[in-house]
Amino acid sequence: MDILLFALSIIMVFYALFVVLCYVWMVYSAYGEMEKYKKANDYIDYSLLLSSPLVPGISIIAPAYNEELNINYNVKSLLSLYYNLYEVIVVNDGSKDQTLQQLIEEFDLVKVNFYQQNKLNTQAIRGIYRSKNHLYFRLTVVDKENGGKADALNAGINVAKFELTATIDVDCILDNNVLLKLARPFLTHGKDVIAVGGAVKVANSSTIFNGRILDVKLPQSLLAKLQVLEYIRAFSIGRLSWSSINSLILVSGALGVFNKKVLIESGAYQTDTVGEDIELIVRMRKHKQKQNKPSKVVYVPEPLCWTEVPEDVNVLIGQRNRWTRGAIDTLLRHKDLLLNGKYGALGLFAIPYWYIIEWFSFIIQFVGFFATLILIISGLVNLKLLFLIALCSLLFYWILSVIALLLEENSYSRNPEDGSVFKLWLLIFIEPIIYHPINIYAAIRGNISYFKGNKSWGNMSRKGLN
Amino acid sequence: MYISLLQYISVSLAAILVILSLLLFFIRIYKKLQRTKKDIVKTKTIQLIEELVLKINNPEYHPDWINPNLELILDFKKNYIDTSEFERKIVTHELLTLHRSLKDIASERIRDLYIRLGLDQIALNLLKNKKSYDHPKIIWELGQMRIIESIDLIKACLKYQDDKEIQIEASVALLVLQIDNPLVGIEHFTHMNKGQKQYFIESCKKLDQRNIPDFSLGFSSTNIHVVEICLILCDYFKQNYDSEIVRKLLKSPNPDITVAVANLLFKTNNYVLIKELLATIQNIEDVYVQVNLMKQIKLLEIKDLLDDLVDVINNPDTVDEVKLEALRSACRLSEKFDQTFTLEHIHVVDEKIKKMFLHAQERLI
Repeated sequence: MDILLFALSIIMVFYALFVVLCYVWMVYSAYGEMEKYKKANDYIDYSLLLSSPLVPGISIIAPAYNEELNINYNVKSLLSLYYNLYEVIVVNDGSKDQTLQQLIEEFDLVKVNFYQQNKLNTQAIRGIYRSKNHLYFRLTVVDKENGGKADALNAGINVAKFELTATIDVDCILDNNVLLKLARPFLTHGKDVIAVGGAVKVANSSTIFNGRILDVKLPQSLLAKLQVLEYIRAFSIGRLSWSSINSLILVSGALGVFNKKVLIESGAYQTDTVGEDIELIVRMRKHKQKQNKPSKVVYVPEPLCWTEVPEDVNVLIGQRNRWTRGAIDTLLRHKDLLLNGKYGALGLFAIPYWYIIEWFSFIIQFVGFFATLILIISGLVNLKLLFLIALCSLLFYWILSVIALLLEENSYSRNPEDGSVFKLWLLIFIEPIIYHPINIYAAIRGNISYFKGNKSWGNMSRKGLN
Repeated sequence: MYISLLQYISVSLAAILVILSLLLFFIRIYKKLQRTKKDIVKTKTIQLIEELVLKINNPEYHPDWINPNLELILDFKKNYIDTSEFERKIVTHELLTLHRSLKDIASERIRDLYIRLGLDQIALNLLKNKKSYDHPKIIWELGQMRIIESIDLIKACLKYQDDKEIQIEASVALLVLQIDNPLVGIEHFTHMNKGQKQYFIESCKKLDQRNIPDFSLGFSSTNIHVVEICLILCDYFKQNYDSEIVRKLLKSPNPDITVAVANLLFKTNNYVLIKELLATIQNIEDVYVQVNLMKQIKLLEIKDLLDDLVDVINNPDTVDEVKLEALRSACRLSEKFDQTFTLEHIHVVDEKIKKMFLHAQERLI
């Protein structure tokens, strides 16, 4: 028994060291990457890119399901982005409400007999609509049978005419310059770039007018505020650091631009997974590797997309449960990538990181919590030692959060509100105690649901941003 | 032992946390102050420029205009250039922006001001430093301000194989600086992907129109990238070209060249060569290129090309996608376009073509 406990302790010490080293490296590389981006971005005249006829065309695909409340505002905001060559394809995924009717009336749509290439199999298309009003010449609406987000995106890809495909959540608020910023890596890095993503921020309680963010504010709800902190940490440290060694495997489903050719060749979105965003990137990378061609996934560290986060604990748990299932599904589908040197840093570092930190760590924390309780009750643990270990872990966690805030503050942050940083700083101290356990609980439920074969999206009801 | 080690670690971590937290608030305050400072420097720079550059009594340019104002300039240099890098960057940015937007004498005076403030020497020194992320910006600055002393340093930057951004900015700057051989920079690129070409072209568009070279010089180059880029830029800057050289380029096996030639012909309304291009469209291997050419014709709105389009549609060697675009272009070109007209001219009226035709019609909604 003693030997077993000793072996477990050694494993846990090495695990803790691995986690600490991982985060130290991530902070270091995220800082370097941000400085590099800022300097390169400093002298770019985006207005030139805006007026250029040479920019790659972008087809924005926005799947919509029961979005009647905000659909008109959101589509208008998509139609007024700053870019020379783009189209907007809204895919009505068999909504049960008046989403389609709203669009038809607002944008003067008529059904057209559109010639479709049908490169990807999807649920039946009921009709394709275009506007009689020349103001909305960029807009195409696809009405189809319900098949889920991935199926709707594939239907949009079939209709898309440009070489780049941007997929967004229709309820997100986009920055006017989003397409200019996301198209640039395709110009500078060339055809190696298969996908580009941007930072996603929390929009709850911000002032929004006509589908545009006017004033960025901290959310009023505590749960949403804590998610602001979590998003800052994930994007300022996580995405940037993996992007620095070209090992990013996640471009947020809320906002991403893809090379359409590679997207179609690699089979586009899979309809039998709930983590279609992460799964797609991994598959696209594998596809390029099979062709012996390099692939690059670029992260643009600027706030380009605002989303509404759940303010209800049950909805949050449901969302995280789905994210966990999506990640596990992707990791197991593509397990051949694990420690596979053929994929370079992706196989040797990024994928093991996802296994150890994004998947197993929640299980370890969950089991560790109960094991510690048992040890305390049975008096087998030195309480002072336990307290110090817990304190060190907390301090490390707090330091990471402060660094994330620092990186955010040193970048393109849009927190002009006086006192917002101080409020976030205060939240850092309560986050691991009241918010992190919710995440652990959701991840454990996600693990159980995954192995039970649950593939549902769950309840994602929100208040709406307008 | 473990306890004292952990105590030591926790105290250290707590100290780090306190320091980082203080740093966070310090940066917040510092950034706020910086914004105020930036506004002040910007205003002062604009005031100087208004005083020295925009209030011009004599429309003739004399390089010695600066001498009577030397004291004012040196005073400004002492206060805003020599003091901090932050302020210098703001001044430089303002000068570069105005240099690009102003014309003739005002633009020349800004250049003189830039040199007299010693900003050219600072830029040269920065460029001499080993590779830095600032290099593309500095190269662009030196090119825009036509600092001839920088030619050798910029040429050396062409060797940065692992940083295409620096290479591209260097070759763009040389277009302006190396008057005797402006294409020396682009000739350096033996391999260039599509994205890099577009980046290069976008950078060229930032150049002052008064200083750009004659891009038709590059049409005879043996480097395929030079030919393509020069075709595109010749078109963009609306320069004249020799039709005979361009006719030879129509036979190029490279689809990118074909696209660039076609664009040039379309923009300059060179119908003779456009007709020649349409007659041989099936010889272009890349269907995507053929489709794009058909799209371009639609934008021309010249009815004379209608018969050539119908020939393309009726040609059995034409692929469906190209027929679709030819149909759509025909729709646009024909003023009295109706279904009867189309059916008269299309021999292969199968279901697929009909569907494509309907699609072409609906696009006109």
